[in-house]
Amino acid sequence: MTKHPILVFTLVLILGLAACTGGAAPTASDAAGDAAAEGGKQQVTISMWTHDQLYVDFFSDRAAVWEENYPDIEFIYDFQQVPDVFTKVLANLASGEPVPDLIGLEQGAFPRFMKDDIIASKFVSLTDLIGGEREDFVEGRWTPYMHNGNIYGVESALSATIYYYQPAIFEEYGLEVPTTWDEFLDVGEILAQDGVAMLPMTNSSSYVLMFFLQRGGQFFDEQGNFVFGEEPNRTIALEVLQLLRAGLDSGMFHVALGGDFWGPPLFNAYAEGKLAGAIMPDWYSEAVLKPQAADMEGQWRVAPMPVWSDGKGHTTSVWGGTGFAITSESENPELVWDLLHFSYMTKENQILRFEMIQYYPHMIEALNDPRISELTDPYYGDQAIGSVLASVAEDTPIWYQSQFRDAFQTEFTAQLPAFFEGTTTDEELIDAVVEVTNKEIADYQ
Amino acid sequence: MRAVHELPAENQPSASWRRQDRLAPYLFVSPFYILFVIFFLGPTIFAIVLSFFRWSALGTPTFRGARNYTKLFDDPVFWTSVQNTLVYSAASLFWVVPLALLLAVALDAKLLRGKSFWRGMYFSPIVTSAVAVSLVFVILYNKDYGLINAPLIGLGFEPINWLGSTFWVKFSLIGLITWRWTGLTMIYFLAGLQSIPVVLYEAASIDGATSFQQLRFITLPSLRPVIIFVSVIVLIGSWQIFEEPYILTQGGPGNASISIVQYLYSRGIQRLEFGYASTVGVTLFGVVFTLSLLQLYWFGVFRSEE
Repeated sequence: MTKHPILVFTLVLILGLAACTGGAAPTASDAAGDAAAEGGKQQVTISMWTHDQLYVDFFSDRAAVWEENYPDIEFIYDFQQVPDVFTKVLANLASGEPVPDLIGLEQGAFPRFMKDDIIASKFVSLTDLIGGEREDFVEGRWTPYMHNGNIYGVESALSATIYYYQPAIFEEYGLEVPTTWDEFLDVGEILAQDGVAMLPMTNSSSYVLMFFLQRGGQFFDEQGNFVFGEEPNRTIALEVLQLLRAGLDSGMFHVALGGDFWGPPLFNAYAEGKLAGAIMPDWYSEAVLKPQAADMEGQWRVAPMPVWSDGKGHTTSVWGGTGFAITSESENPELVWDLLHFSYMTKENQILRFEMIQYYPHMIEALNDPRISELTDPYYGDQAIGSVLASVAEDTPIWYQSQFRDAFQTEFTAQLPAFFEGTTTDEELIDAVVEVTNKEIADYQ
Repeated sequence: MRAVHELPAENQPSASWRRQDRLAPYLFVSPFYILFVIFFLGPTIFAIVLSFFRWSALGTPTFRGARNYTKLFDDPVFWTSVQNTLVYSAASLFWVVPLALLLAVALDAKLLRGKSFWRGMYFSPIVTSAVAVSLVFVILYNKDYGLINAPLIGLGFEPINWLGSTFWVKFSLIGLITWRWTGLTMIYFLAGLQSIPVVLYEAASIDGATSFQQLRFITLPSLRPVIIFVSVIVLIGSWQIFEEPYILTQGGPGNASISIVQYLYSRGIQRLEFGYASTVGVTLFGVVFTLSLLQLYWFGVFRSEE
C-alpha cells in the first residue's frame, strides 16, 4: 500500500466523497418516478412540500381516499412540512435539483416567482383545468395566484376578515357593536376615555393594507401595473390612513408591535378588558385566539367588520392564504391535478377540510352548507361563526399581485413606524411609497 | 566511485515512483485548496461578476454595467443599514471588547472561587439557540409587561418602547449583542491572560507595583497580540451582524435596526435580486477589508521590528 501513495489518496478521496454524497439524498428526488411494481401495478410517487403540517395531514387523509379511483396504480406519497418552502424550492430550481409535484406556498411568496416570469416556466397554469368551476369559488381567492391572466394556485382558506369582540365590554357601557366606521369612532371614543381600545393595531403593512383593501383600494391592477398612487387608490389610502391616525391618537387602537401582536401582551389586554376586540381573518380563531385565550371561552362573539358609511368598499377584507401549485417538473401533472381538485375543489372535501383542519371553505356552496353556516361554537357563546362569514364571503376584495409587491410593501412597512410616531403625515407616507416603488419598477426596465 | 549509500540498481525507485513522490505532497494538501476554490474563491469571483448583472437565480443574467453600484449609493435603505451597522460595530468594539477584558481580568483573579462555573456561565449565551434567545428577549423588552421596564413602571416613569421605538431599538440590539458575545470574547482574553508569566507579577509586587500598575504595565502590553486579534475579529463579525436584528426585530421598526447583511439577505433571498445583493456584498467586503487594514495599521502590525 505505501508504495502507491497516489492510489491510496485517490481511494480515500473517492470513499470520502461517496460518503458525503450518500447522505444527501434529496427529499423529493424520486418524486414522480414511475416503475412497474410487483403484481403488475404501476407505481407513482407524488410529493408535496408546504409550511403547515395541517395541510400535510389533510392531503394525506384525502389521498388515501382519492387513490381508490386508480386501482391500477400503487401510490407512494411523500408529503412533507418544510419550513421556508419558497427558498428551498428556488434553491432546488436554481441548482437543477428536483422539486416536488405539489407546492403549498403562502400568497406573500407567490410574487417572488413572478419575477422574470419564473412562475410561467416552472409551474403549471391551472386556468383551463379550473375552467368554469372558477365561479363556484370566491373570486378574490383566485386573483392572488394569477400572473398574466393565468391561475397558478388553488387557495386553502377563505381568510375573510370579521370583527371578533367581547360583548360584555359593550354591554357594560350600554353600547352597540358598531356596523360602520363612523359608529366605530363614536363608540371607540367612549371606550377610549376609560382606557379600553376597540382593536389592536400594528405597524405591519400587511395588516394596515387589509383596511385599504376593504375600502376598495388596489395596489396593482390586473395587468400588474402599479396603481397605488393613482386615483381612486390614493384617496382611499388617505382615508384609511386618516382613520388609522384617528384611532391611534384617541387610543381606540391598541398598539402592539412585532411579536406582541401575536403574543401574551395582546392576550393579557383582552383578558384585562383593555381591548374589546380585533379585526382579523377567519383563521385567527383557531390558530391564535382559542389556543392563546382558552380560558375566555364563551366571552367572545363575531360580527362583520364595520363598513364605510358612503357604501363604497366591501363588507369584509382579506388577509393571508396559501395556494397549492403544480410544478412543471411533475411527471404526472394530470394525477397531481386530480388529487388537488379532489381535495380542494369538491364541496364535500371543502367541508371536510374545515372539519379536519378548521380552514373555512372558499367554495360558496360549501360555505353556505348548514354543516358550516349553522355550526355553533361554544367559544363564541354558541354563535354560528360560519353564518357571519357566509354573509360577507362573496364580497371578499379582489386584489392582484405583482413581482414588485415586495418592493411596495417593504417601503410601506418602512414608513409606518414614523407614521405611528407622528413624524410622517399620511400624504408623505403615500408619496414615499409611490416614489420608491416606481423607482424600483423603473430600475427593472 | 560508487556512493556508500547508493542502493543497488534493482532497489532504486522507478521514474514513475519518483514522479508520484513529488506529486504526493501536493495531492495531500489539495483537499483544502479544492474546497477553498469551490466554496470561497469561486463564489467570491462569481459574486463580484454578478454585482454587474441583474439575476433572479433562474434564467440568464442581464448585464447592467455599473448601474447596481450607482443604485446602491442612491439607496436610502442601504445607507440606513450602514449607519445601523456602524452603531453595532462601535458598540462591539468600544463596549463589548473592554467589558470582556474587564470580565476576563476579574475571572482570572486568584481570589475568585468557582472560576469554572463563572466561565461556563458567561460562555453559555453562545451555545444557546438563537430562537430561544429571541423569545426571551422579546419578553424582556416588552413595553408593558417586560422585566426591563418593570422598575420604571414601578417607579411611576413612562415605560420605554424598547422594540417599537426607532430610537431605543438600537439600544435593545446592543443589549442582546452584549449578552451574546461578551462571554466568547472574554474566553479569548482569558486564554491570553493565562499565558502571561506569573513571575512578571511577582517581580512587580516585590517592586511595589499596585494592581492597577500591574494591569497597565504588564497585563495590557502582554495582551497586545490578543487585543489585536480580538479587535479584528470583532470588527469583522460586527460588520457581518445578521442573526441578532433578524431574530429580534426583523430589522424594524421600519428599517431602524436593519444591518447590511440583513439588507443583502432581503434583496437577494426575499426579492430575488441576486445581482443587487451581490453589489451590497462586494461593497461590504471592500469596507470590512479596508477597515481591517486600517485597524491593523493603527495597532502597528505593519511596522517593521527594530
